[in-house]
Amino acid sequence: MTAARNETWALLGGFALLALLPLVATNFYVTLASSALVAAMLALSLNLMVGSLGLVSLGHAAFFGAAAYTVYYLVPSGGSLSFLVTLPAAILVASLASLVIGAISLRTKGFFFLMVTLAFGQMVFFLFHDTKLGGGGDGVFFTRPGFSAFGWEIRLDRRARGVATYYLNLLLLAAMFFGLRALLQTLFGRVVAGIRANEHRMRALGYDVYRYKLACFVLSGALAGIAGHMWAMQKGVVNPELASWHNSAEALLMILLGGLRSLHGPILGAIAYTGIGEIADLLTERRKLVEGLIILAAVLLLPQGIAGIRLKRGDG
Amino acid sequence: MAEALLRTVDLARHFGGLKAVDGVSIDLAPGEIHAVIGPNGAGKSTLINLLSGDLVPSSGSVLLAGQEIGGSPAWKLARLGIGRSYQRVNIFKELGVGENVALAVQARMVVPRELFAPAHRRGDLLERGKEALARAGLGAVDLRRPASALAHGEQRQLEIAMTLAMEPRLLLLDEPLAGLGPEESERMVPLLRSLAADHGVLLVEHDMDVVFTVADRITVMVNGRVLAQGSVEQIRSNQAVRDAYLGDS
Repeated sequence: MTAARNETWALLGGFALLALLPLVATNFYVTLASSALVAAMLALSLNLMVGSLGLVSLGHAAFFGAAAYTVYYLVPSGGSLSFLVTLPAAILVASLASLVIGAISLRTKGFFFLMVTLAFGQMVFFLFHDTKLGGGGDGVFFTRPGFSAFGWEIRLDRRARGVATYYLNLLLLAAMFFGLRALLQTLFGRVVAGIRANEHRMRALGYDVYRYKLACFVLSGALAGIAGHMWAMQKGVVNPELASWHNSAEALLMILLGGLRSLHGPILGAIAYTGIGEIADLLTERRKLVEGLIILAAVLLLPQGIAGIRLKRGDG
Repeated sequence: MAEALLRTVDLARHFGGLKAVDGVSIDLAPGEIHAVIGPNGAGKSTLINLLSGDLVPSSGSVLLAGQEIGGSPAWKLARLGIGRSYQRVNIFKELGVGENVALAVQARMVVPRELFAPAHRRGDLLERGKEALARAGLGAVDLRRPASALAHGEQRQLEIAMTLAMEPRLLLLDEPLAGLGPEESERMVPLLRSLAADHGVLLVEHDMDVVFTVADRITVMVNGRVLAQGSVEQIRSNQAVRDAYLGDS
């Protein structure tokens, strides 16, 4: 129990540290950190499938993208809309999309599941890329959702808006993290652990495994929807790339980098990945090459990801 | 004889042209151990897979206490009261011994609206699981030990404990002695016998001494068909069985 309590304090400390960042950072770094938090939400949502349930999906970005486009559809041109409207709508759309895609994909297993989710993800990508639904392959700009609430008009300057978005991201990420942590400690979480350990035995014990997987798939899609919404809210632009498999694969890399067997791993991974990308940009024009080499080295040297570093020291 | 707990009528399963199980009819009463024996490839494993829902029958019917259940998925059959163990140990190796049995209890006792209660508040699941462990002879084992750290025989016992924790009416045991040493086998025999007190047991087993010791009735399968069926004495003295099977070994 004390180990778990220590962990909780360490995590709360980590979140508190992130909360202090806007006090010292310039606009550029607040925006960058904000992007890292959105990436962390996406990685965390995907890790419910990959780390907790043991199912690797390559179509996860479809829900991220669908949620981002929902914001674009809802905001009237020239007008503004509160995030209190756009956020629930984005979650709803992402949930429905993941219900449909999950219900079909989860009939398959392993490699086929990977390929079917990839196919669905690319369908969503092309939906936004090539049809009138999307508004063009290069993406579209729109007015960012505002912070107004219940008739209270809240006007923010550029700096304040960036900081407010950052704190909203941080709040949502913390809620997502502690919510998932609580969920995995319920009886439902036990079933999820059982499915990862031995799906066949779970069925023989009387668990309708398909339903549990679908519930996780939809929850994970809904959480990716939160991430997608926050991306759109921060940037004020959407493009088809948000839904593409590159984005799914990047989220998988973040999970791998951070460590997939712990819940805070994907968050560390997303922050590290964003940081690596920025540093690579400062050093060279070959950003992807540097990223690739660092991730390769990290995965080879740290089989449990960044989250495993502390454990190792504890053992020795 | 009481109403059959399990009855199969002309049960068949074909894989392409191969008739793995071909018109098998079996009756099993509550409190009875019914052993299915036969040489490798006789169709014993296919039969047990048809009864547990791991395979869907090509034709014929399976009745559990009079209710047609053939072709239902494994998880539904488990909920109807069919528990099974596998020829190759099938447990949650990376989870603790306690979690293994607690998951089996949870499958039966927890209704959907209770699913979101914190697991640590449901110590009752583990308590019930402990009873099943004790019955399977693992009462003294450390519940936190990962199941993978148990000896092979203990893993078999754990699997039986998980099956018991489901509180099934019918137990399907697929070679529960496979891979056990003589000492471990000896411990298993009284356990098998005790299980018949409150379950119907369908036992697939290679060890003839054990089968003749514990079984009430025996079905001998060869090439997917029933060669003979009867009490232990009838099977022992059956000439066709001697020729086809017992004589070889």
